[in-house]
Amino acid sequence: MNVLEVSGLTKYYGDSVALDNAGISVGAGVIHAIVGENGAGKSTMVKVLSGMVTPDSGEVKIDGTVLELGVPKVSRSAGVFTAFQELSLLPNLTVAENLLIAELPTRSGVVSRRAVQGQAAKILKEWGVDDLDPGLMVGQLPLSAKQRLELVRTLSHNPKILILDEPTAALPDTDWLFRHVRAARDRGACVLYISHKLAEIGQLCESGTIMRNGKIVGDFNPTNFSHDEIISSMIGRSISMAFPPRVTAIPADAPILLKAIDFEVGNRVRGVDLQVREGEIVGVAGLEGQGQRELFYGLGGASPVTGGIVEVAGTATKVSNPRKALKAGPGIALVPEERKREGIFADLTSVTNISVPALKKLSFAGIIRRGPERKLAMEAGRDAHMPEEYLGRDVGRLSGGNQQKSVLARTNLTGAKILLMFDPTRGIDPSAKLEVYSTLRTSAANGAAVLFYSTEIPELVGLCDRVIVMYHGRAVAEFEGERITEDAIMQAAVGNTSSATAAQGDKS
Amino acid sequence: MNTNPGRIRQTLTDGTGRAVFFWLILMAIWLSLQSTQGMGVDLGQIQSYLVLSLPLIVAAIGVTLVIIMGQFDLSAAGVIGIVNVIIASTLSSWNPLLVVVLMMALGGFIGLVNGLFVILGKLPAIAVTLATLIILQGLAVVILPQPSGKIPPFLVDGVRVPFVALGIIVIIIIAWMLFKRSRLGLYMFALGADPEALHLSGLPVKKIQLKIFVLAGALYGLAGVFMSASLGSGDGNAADSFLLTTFAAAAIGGTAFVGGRGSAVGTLFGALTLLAIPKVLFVIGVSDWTQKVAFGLLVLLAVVAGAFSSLRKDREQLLVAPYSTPTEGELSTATKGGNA
Amino acid sequence: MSDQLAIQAQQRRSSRMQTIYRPLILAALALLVLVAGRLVSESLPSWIAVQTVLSLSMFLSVVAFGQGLVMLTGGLDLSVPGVIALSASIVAVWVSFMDGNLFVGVLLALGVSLLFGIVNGVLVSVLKAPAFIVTLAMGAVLEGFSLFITYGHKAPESPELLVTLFSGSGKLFGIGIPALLFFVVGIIGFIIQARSRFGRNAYLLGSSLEASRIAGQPVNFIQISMYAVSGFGAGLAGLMLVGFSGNAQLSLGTEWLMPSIAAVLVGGTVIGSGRGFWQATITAGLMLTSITIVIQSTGVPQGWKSVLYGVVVLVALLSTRSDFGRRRRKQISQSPLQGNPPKK
Repeated sequence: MNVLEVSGLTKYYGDSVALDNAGISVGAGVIHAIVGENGAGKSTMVKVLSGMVTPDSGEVKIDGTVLELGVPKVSRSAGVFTAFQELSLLPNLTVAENLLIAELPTRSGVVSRRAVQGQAAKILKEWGVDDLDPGLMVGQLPLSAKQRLELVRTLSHNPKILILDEPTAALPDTDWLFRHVRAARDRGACVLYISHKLAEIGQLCESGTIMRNGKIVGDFNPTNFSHDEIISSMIGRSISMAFPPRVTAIPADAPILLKAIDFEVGNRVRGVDLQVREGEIVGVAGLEGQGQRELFYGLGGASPVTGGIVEVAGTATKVSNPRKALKAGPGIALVPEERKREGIFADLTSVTNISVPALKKLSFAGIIRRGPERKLAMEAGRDAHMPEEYLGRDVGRLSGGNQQKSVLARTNLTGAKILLMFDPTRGIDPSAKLEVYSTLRTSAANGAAVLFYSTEIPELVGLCDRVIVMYHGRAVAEFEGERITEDAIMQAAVGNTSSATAAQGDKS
Repeated sequence: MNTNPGRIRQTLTDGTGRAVFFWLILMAIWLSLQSTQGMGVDLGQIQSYLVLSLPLIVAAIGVTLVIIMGQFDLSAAGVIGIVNVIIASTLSSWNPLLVVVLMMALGGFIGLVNGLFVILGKLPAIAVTLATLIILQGLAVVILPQPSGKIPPFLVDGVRVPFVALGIIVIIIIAWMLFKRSRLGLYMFALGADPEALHLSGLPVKKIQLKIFVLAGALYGLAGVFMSASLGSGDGNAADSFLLTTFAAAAIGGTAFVGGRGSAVGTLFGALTLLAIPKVLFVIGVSDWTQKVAFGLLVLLAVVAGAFSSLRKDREQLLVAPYSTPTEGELSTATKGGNA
Repeated sequence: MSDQLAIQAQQRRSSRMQTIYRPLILAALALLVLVAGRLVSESLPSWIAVQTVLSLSMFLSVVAFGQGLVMLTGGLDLSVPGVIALSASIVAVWVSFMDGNLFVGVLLALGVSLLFGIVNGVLVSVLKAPAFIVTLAMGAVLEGFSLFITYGHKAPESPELLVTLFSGSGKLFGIGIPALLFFVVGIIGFIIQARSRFGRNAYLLGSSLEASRIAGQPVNFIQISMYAVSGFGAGLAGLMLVGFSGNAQLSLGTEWLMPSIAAVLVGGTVIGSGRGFWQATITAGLMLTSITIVIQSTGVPQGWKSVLYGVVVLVALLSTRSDFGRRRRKQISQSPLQGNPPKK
């Protein structure tokens, strides 16, 4: 019998399924990989195991005993400890307080600062991160240090079941992590290792599972597998089929719709030069938090710009808010990162969500004409591949994919020719992704200039005409055509620019 | 003494520092006006000032707790009012200590009800606590339609400078320990900054929220006892002003209304500042309506100043957030590790 | 087009509970309360009582309209009593002590109310100060101003015309003018909140301020305009109440703050959500007013009214949760504390 037996996990969020009858079984002393696209259900599975999410059905057994689900404390006392992808650290507490948060040492009810610091220093030293000052506020740490802290906090409990969700997303020193993970395995822990980086998985793991759309779609052997096969079963079709064909070449005389020179947003974006031509999809790559968000939000008027020049269709323009950006020249529209908070109007219908930019046109004497509104929304929805039956429903109840389509439909209605797409495929199902790709391509073919950021590097490779890589607030590399490869982008994204062909904008 | 202008600016943008600064200025104006008018400052005036401050300090600390964890609680004025009328109408001959315990328990119970509605009912705290405020204010008037009643003499007699000053000091030390040196305090700050992260850390978020609501309620109960002692009788409407003053004291003290930031000492000086305003206005000798207007305007000013500095802090944070990748130094060790 | 009709039907179905059933239930409850008033008073129910309920609800609706828009966008306007008192004082003092023209006085009162509404809005939207403290402090300031204006005068008499219009002495088709105005206010409010671009902007902003901003909505302007409307509405109510009560007391407005908030909440508006409907707000106003009338006729202490209001609000808050059924609850369980939908 295996240490961890998961069977029949199902979890719905509104209409969208996050886990669909998923089950895995892992033995003691095994490092088991789970791979899958964003939104495949990996993180939900992790959250179920750690008691953060109660599934609609399904069972988890540890050492043959059924685990009570939905109670973090129970999961922890059963020996399940997780290093979360989004990091579970509190920004306004110190490193030491974060490390010991669940069991703060108290003396007759009073938290003793010295004891906390001392104990934390001991743990940090034990796990080889003694360069981290236990008295620092976590909010001030770079992400790499936060990631290490999250890992140390998880490892220090000596878990029976160790779950690592994308532990190396911002971790430069993977050897350090691998050493400790292997040590945990050697003392009999069962390790679930979730990562996008197949090379790491090959190095570290002994068995593996592939997830897609909330389902388990197959197992693989990490020591001997074909890259392409895994990726095809992750996305459910062959890679070449997934993306709409590129336009053969962007004509050299295609007008430059968006040009930024020495663009600055505080110290987050430090002197980026870029240009996007009509009909072009330019990708932006980078590890999380390299200034790409501020680049997009700055260009779209949603973040304060502190320096540089933005030229819209050849005219220098100040974009101080999204409203001005939309009105600038051919118009700049931003599809934001956090769909739920910044993208959709959850309590309102899809029609209402889509028609926003056209309200002025649709109203007579200040009163909105409802017939034309519905008609317009329906047409825009159709262009964005939005199923018609969802148009009358509250957007908050739709799946992530349909929510995003309503945002794209709205963006199209603005008539803006410059589209800033910040991770539009985050957390949506694979078929919706394909429709988003085709919407983007169609827009470009119709004369839009698209700037596209994605956390999924294969998407950038498959979709973009050109890719810019950001690192520490600068554009450190640019690839075009055949040179756009996952490997080249990854190298540049970790700051290793020697292999990059065209390093631009790096003024350090 | 360090007179570095940067340092001074920092002290002023920090909430607690700003509150202390405001308070010192107001006190200076008050004292100098008093002495130039040849009135001097007698014990009685300081006594009345401190006695008025005590309930506000206690209640405002309760409100601060709830704001720090990222919620709102408007019921403070209601709890204080109902405690006041209950003491005056029925408990006037009871053992004062028992009265204190009972009234804190009553406040805690009301906090529990608020918390249950907000947390289990998943309802907006501002609406729920507004409803409890209306109910409590109504009940207070039902229990005691006209100002009347008596407060236990022990409580009223306890209102002397040394006791009150001591009380304030004790309360502020306890509050400080609670804010800075207790698990609950730490969780409360964490909750206000990022409830999701606290949940992922495996802590019982709802339970912590509920505890804070109950604790805040108990503090309002205590504030009600102190208020009764200073008032000396019962009045169903006497507590109404606490709705504005508690939040204003917290705001002046630098509590951020988005949660995660605030301090007990800041709120203490916020409350002291707030109550020094009418003192100064009185000495200046302005008319009734001017006092009302000036008080309102000063509260507005303080709230707006607090909001403005929060706004600037957030904006600064947005622009100078640390990079999420390894620094150059870290990276070189990483590549030396040979994994690239 | 047939599929268009299908969408329309779906839209209707999804919000029918809020747009039709809730107002109907509330109106029926209002009637029921009046009829049940028979148990406590011989004079109930009566045609006069119905007219009184309609008149008082009209005043309430005028205040609750702006209040509702402000609450929809996530705020709260507690300056209402101050604005009512100020507006009432201005017009009364202007006409009865300064022998000014009534028309000018009305414009002056409404202009000042609008102005302070705008100030509230600016402080809340631009400086991001918490709405309820800003408006509460503003209310205190305005009460101070009212005190100044009426200083030394003993509650000035109301202008003749206002009394005729709003005290119920003036009649049209045998019905008091304020009672008739209830329907006018209802229809105008409905058109503005449910059908106009102005109202739509409030829903969008309430549903998500960030999304509104990124979609290119002028969010500050919208937010300020909601507070401006609330200030204007309170000012208008002040004028009406001067006529209704016959003189301008400073306490004129205090009676109307909590009912206005209660009407909005009982009507099912969720603070800062983009969910809420005017027809439910005014019918909630009818119900609350009926309760008030019945309580007054029993001679039960006034405090019980507040208690009942609070309880009704709590019950209504719970009802806004449950009528979305199971699906909605699932959606709510996505809140941060319950764990997230799959992000990556």
